[in-house]
This record gives sequence, structure tokens and C-alpha cells, in this order.
Amino acid sequence: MFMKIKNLHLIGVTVLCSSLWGTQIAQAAVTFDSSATLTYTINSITNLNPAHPNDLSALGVSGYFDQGTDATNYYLATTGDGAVVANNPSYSVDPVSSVFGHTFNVSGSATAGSVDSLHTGLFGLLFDNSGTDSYSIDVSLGYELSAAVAGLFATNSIALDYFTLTDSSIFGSIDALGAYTIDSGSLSDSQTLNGLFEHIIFNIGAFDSTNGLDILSANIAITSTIEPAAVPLPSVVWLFLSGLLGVLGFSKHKKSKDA
Amino acid sequence: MKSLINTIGLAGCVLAVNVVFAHGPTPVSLQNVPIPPVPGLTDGADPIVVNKTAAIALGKALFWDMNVGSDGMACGSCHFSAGVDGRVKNQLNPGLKSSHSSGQTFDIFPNGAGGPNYTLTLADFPLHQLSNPADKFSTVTYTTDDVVSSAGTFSGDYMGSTKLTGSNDLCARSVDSIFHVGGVGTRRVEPRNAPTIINAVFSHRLFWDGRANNIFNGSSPWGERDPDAGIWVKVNPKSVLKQRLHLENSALASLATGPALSDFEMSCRQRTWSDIGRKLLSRQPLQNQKVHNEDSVLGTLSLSTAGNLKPGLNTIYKNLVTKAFNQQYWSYIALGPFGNAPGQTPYTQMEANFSMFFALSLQLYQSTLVSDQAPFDLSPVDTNVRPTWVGLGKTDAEIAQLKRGGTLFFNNHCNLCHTGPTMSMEAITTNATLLTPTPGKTFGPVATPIAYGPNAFGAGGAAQQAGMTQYPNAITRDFNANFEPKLMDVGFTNTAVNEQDADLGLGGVDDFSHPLSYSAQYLEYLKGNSAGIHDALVTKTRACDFMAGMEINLTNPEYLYFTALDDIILDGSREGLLRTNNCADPTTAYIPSVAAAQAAASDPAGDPRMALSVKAAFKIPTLRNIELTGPYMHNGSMANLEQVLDFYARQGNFFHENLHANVVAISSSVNSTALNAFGTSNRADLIAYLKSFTDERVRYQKAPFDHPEVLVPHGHSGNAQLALQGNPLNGSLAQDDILVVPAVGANGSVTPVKPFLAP
Repeated sequence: MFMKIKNLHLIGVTVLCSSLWGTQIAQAAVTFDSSATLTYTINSITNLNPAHPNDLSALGVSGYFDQGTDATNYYLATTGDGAVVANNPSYSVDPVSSVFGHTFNVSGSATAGSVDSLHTGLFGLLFDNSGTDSYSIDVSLGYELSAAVAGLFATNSIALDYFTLTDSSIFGSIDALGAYTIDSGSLSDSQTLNGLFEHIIFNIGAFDSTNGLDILSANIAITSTIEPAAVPLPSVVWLFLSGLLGVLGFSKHKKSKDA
Repeated sequence: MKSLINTIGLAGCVLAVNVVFAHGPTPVSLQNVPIPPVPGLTDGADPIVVNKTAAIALGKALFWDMNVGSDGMACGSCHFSAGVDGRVKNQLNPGLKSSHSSGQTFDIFPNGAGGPNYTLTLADFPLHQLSNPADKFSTVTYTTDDVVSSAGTFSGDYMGSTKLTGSNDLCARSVDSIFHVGGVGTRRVEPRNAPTIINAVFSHRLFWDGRANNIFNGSSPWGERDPDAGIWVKVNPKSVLKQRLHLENSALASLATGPALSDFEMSCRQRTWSDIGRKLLSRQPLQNQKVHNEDSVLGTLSLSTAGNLKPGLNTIYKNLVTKAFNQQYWSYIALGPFGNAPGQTPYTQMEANFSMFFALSLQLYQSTLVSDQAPFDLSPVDTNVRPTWVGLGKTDAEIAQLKRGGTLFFNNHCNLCHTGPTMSMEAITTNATLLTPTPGKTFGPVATPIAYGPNAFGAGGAAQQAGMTQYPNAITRDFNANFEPKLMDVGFTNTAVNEQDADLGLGGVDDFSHPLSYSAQYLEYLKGNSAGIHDALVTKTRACDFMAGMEINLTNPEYLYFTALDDIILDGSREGLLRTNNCADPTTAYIPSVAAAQAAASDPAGDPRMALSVKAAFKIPTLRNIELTGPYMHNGSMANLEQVLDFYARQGNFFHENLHANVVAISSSVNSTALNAFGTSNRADLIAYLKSFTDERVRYQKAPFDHPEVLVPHGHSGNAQLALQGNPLNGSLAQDDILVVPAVGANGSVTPVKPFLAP
């Protein structure tokens, strides 16, 4: 019923290990590139005091972007020449009249190393009420997400959550738009998704000790992993293989050039 | 009913040479039998699984993926041959379940070899050998507590793994103190034989000792017993909550959380489910294993074309998870609540919940592995729901032999344990469902459908003669070999395969030192000790469905029963919900009061009315495809059906107080060695009947039993005396020999699966 392989000599062992344990010795640059552009559009703001529904004088609106840096929304682990570019300075606009938008980019590459990272970008639209009236706010959130990878092996995904500071019933998400490369399949992949969350509607109360401030937040998470194929073998396997290749008169360098 | 049972027991004892006092239920067809329901899994307002097709694909990929193990072991590595392990080399465990020191050391087989890296032969079996195989009291010519099981992992201390490439975890590996050949490390071997996964979905509990709980809690095998179990649910983008699942009829999921962390089976020590999730989620499924382009589940995801099979699927695990499962279990962005391994980046929600994704997808995949097209299933049945065998292309002689075999099966009371559509009493939910009168509902062969109800397993309410009713009772009180009634878990039986201390089986405890058995908990229930109850269904036990009640309707003292002289109460009266309806004998619907039970339990000599029989009891296995699922018994001690029948014909290998009465009621007329041509002929008839349980789709690995390629470590280079070191994992470990199990598509293989050690 089954074929049986007996690894009776040393070269046989090496071949067997390659097939069984998925060893890959090819080396080439592996890259990922992610981008997320979010745009808040204020559709309407209504003063809920019927005496002056169009009076917005007490309500300030500002927009900001910050890249996450603490342990709940960021990690970066690299080996070898693995490197990431995530140069996204904080950005803000105050006041926002009707539209606030910004783009968040993360990219990385490795040839003889690896990258494993989570980068988050927080896009906020802040409403600050200094008066005694309440307001109903209607905002749309547009998004343009893209995740791309090239080379073996890479995965790169983007997820989006939006929510408000005060009302836990208002939230939505785009889940883990992902690009990946796989052995014997595609060696590059690009995924994009553009869309709009329309009419996110919430109220902001009159100013007092607990009310008067609300933030519509959108959180972008970019999760990326690249592992050029030769890197991740356990060190003991490397020692074994390199020793064996040495015995057989090859070098890793030569082998990788051939590949 | 009790008097009937006592009579039967006596008959069995006296007429041991040729018992013909048949009674009770019969095995029946599995055709159109529903899978036990799992409320909340794929149904309801907010199901856990939102795309069952994707979940099954995920489950099949994970089941066969060698990357799940720390060093190349897949679940399928031990279940690739008719759902069991087909290997013969390095398959011995020294008997580590034994409480005796002999369990720590390997024995030498009669041919002078044994232990790690030994290659089994037919001559090694059975492992308990007698001068007269028909007589268990004859001279023991060879015996061992070594167990024939499955080689797994080298194990080691887990240190980490990569996310996309490489297959082996980084572990600190060294030579095991037990599993080695002359100081060269060999793969560790499980202490119990691997049962078949086919039809396992019908089991109430799984593993030989039933420790895979019927209730799946999300992260461990222990159901309601595990206070720390649970999974993370995203409430909104800002918060997650840890919740313990309570999924019924999910023993397969409970089981699935075990082997991948076991340092015998698949894992380096201290590895967690989150670690496995981290290793796999961004990775291509079946990365290094060929997938057939006609695979019944994975074909459309494969990269293969006809005649050009390629490894891997055209996706990554993360995508299958997000497609299959409700987003509240994986879409939380922030880190923090889910912990992290020392020196490692924090786990994500998807990694933290990987135990659930793995377990439930495997359960859904294995729920498709139902073999219901054996000749036994397809045959029309007579008015007593037994096969007529007509219309299957069989000759008159073949039909006559199958009928003789069926009669022998019945007359020797095999049917009292191996009954119902799964041929195991242990399928509690399924059996009770089919025994529930349900207008319009039928199962069985199309030509002769069988109505749900008390006669589903035989006319005249035959099922009730084995204590089986429409109520899913998990406990009974049944007789031991001395015909003393003892509390037993339904579907778990001591058949004296081995000495009791060789393996406690159901008599063991869980990770929290609580008894595995329901019966032990029922004693606590009787005593009013709610803290001693860890599986809630124990409190719903119906005493009147016991084979022998707790109470007997007499006014004089009884040694083995409570009577009207004792403080007895109606069953269910403590809860205000009487369990007295539909009792065959309403006078048995009594249990001792809490005070009476406490008084009896305090007897230092042990009150026999409170006696248990769970020690060395093991799960009654299905007989489906039994021809192909050797070696047999929990310790793999028998190689073929002939040896199994010899064992039963001598009424077990040993005699002790927990041996079940049904075993000593078996006739020796199926034993060929001690008797004559009559025994040989009977045995052949019975084996022909047993072989009618084989589904040809299983034999030829046709859908749903097709599978990807799997490369199975099969012993090590060398033999039991000398193993060649230099494994790539660690130079002090032995090199693996590899058994290539080729990828098979939906149309199966031209080569049949062979029985264990068949030429």
C-alpha cells in the first residue's frame, strides 16, 4: 500500500530531510508594502436644542493621526538584514471643517533575515463641546487599503476597526485584508480594498465633568511577516547541513547563487 | 428485569461451553443516522462557525498537516490506515500506565528482542500467551505489560518556532531515558493504542479512558472540569472577554486539544496552543505535503493538476480561519489581554483562540468521516432489524454463513456491548435519539427503514434489556463476573485484557485529580456532595434504567441492594423533578436518601451497595471496519480477529472483581484451539460477520476517507539492537525511516488498506 524509503546512506538522509522538513536554501529579497488612507467626511452636525439647531459655535472639531508605539499596538522583531520603513509622523488638523484624511504606510524587506511586525495607526476625529447644547453628528469614513508582498515567504495584512470613545454600541470593522506568497504558488500578491462606512451617527452631550468630549477613532493594524526561505531553520539543522555541504564540497554561497 | 439478568448471568456461567440464551439489542445500520447535534456551533443567532465548508477544509488540512507537530507528526500520522495506525516498527511503550515498576522498562519478546525500534511480527502476538489459548487459567507461556501503540515525537523543551518556513520547532532535545537504543534517542511511543477516528463523532466521550469530555470548553479536554479554560470573545473594538464554551456532543473537539500538546505524540514540552497558532496561522496549509487534485475537500484549494501533484494549498491558514469562524473570535486588533511567552511578542486574539479553531474544525472534518456503506449497513433488515443480506450479490452459502455469524454474535452476548448503529453502547446520545419514539423519523437501509422508538434495536423493546432507553443515561448498575451489581459508566467495560494495575483506564483521574468516571461522581451525588460532581449530567441519571437498581422492592435486608427498610427516596425527588416516567419497573425508581448513602459510604469494610466498577474499564470500541483496525484492545495486544475471538472465548485473560458479567457469559464455541472443527467453523462464521462491517470506501480510501500525502516516521535506521544516530534535529537522536503515505483523491486508491501485519 505504501512506499517505504530507507535512508541508508548519508546523502539519502540529506535528501530526505529536505523533503520532509521543508528546507529551502534559495535566497532572494522578500518585501512587503502596506498602505491605508482613511478619510473622515462630516455629513452633518445638528444642534439638538430646537431653539437654535444650526448653532455650532460651541463645538470644536479636530483631526489627528498617531502611529502606535506601546506594547498593546506595536511590535517589531527583525533578524539579519530584515528592515522596516514606517515613517509616519504624528499629524493633526485643527479645526476640521468637513474633511480629514491621512495616509499610513509601512514597508519592509529582507534578503538574509526576517521581519515580524505589527504597526498600528490611529486616526481620530475629536469633538469638543464647550457649551450647554447637545449635538447629533453624522460622519462617513472612507478607506483605501492595500497590502502587497513579493518573494518567498511573506504575509501582510491590514485590519480596520472604528469606534467611538463613549458609545460602545457604535463600531465596525474591515477584517484582515491579507496578501501572502506561498511555495509553488504565487510569488507576489497584492490586495486592495476601497470603500466607505456611511453615516456613522452619534450624539455628543453638553459639557460637564463627564460629557462634552467624544472621539471617532479608526485603528489600522498592519501585520507583516517575511522570512526568506533559508533563514528559519533551527540552528542545529543548519550546523548539520552546512557541515554536510562542506563535506560534499559545496558552499552555501554557491548553492544560493545557483538557486 | 433484575431477575431476568440474574438468570442470564447464571445461564452464562453454567452453560459457558455453549450459551444460546440470546437477548437484548442488536447492531443496526448506520444509514441515515444523524450526527449528534452541537447547539450553537453552526446554528443559532450568533454561531461560532459561519462557514461550515471552510471549517471542514481547515479541519482536514490541520488534521493531516505535519507542521502541527514539533517534529513532523500530524494527527494523521497515527490515523492514516482505516483511521488507525498501520505501522509496525518502534511502536512499543513499556507500559507507562502501570503502577508497577515493570511499566518503566521494556520486556524482551520470546524471540529475544523488543523495546525501542523493534519491528513487530505476527509471532509476537498476542502479548499474553497461554499453553492453552482456550483456558485463561492454563500456564502463561509469555506475558508483558508492554503496549503496542504509536510512535510520536522526540519531544524536548519548547523554545520557539518560525511563522512561515521551516517545519520543526526549536526545542532543546536530548536522548530520552526510556526511549533509546544503546543511548541513541528514539521517538517516544504513546502508552495506549490509537483507536480509529472513523465514526468517532458518535462517541459520547473519547480516548480509551473517556477523558475527552463530551462538553467542549474551548481550550482543553476537560469540559466543565477546567476552571481556567476558555476563549477570548471580542465584545467591541475596545474590549474582549474570556468565556468558557459549553458545546455539547463535542468530545472530538475536546480530544483535539490533547495530542498536539502531548510530549508522547506531537509536541515539545511547554508548548501552548497559542504557540501552535503563531506557528501556523500565516503559513500555507500542508506546506510540504502533496494534495491530490481530486481531494474531496481540498481539491479546489490544491495547487495540483492531474498527474502533477504539488504540495500545499493555495491559501494560508489565517484566511481559512477568517472565512470559517465568526469574527468576534479573531478580529480584535490590540495586543495585551492574551499574554505572551517569555521574551516573545504578545499573542494576538487569533493565536490565543487557536485551540478552538483547531478543535472545532477538526471536529467538523471528522464528522464527515462516517462509514455507513458496509454490507451490514446496506442490507435490508427483517422484522427483528437483522440483515437479510439479500440484494447485495451474495451467494446463498455466503448469506447462510453471515446469518450463522450473526447468530453467534448475538448468542454470545457481543450485542450487549457492541450494539446500536455504531456498535458501541458508548454512543449514548445517538442510541437514545434512535430509541426515542419520533413520528415520521426513520433510519437504516432505504429498502427497509427502521422507525425511531424502543424497537429500533430489536423487537419487543430489545434495547431496554441492555439498559438502553430514550433517556441518555451515562451510568448504569450492572453485574461483574461474580454477578454482583456495581455502578458502571455506560459504554466502559472491564474485559480483563490485562491485570488491573497495568492501566487504570476509566478508574484514573483528570489533571485536577478528579475521577474520570461518571459513576464515582454519582456516588458523590447520592451522598449529597455537590463539590464532588464535575460533569453536570451525572445529576440527571435515571436509576430505573439501571440494569440492576440501587433499590429492590423488598422488606427484608439485602446485601447488594437498598430496600424498603432503608431510608429511600424517589429518584429525582431531591431536585423536585421525578425521574420515574417510562420506567420498565417503576419499583426500581428509588435511590437512597443522602443520609442513607452517607451511612453506607462510611462503612469501612465497603458497603457493596455503593460499589463501583470502573477500575481498568475501557471504552467499548466500535466494530465498524474492525477487519482493518488492528492491533486490537487498548494495549494493542492482539494482532488479528482470530486472537480477539480466542480472548473472548476464554472469557478474558484474567479474572478479577471488575470483570464484566457479559465476558464470562461468552461461549467457548468460537475458540478453535481447544475444541475442534466446530469451533473453527464457528469462528470463521463470526469473522465473516465481522467483516461485513467493512465499508469499501474505507478499504480503498475513497471520499470522504481520502487524504493528502503524509510522511510518517516509521522507526529508525537500524533495528532494536542498533540505531543509526545523526538525526537532523539533534545528532544524538536516531535517523528516521519514513513511510510515505501517498495523497489520495476522492476516487480512492487501487491498493486496498490491509489489516494489521497482513502479508
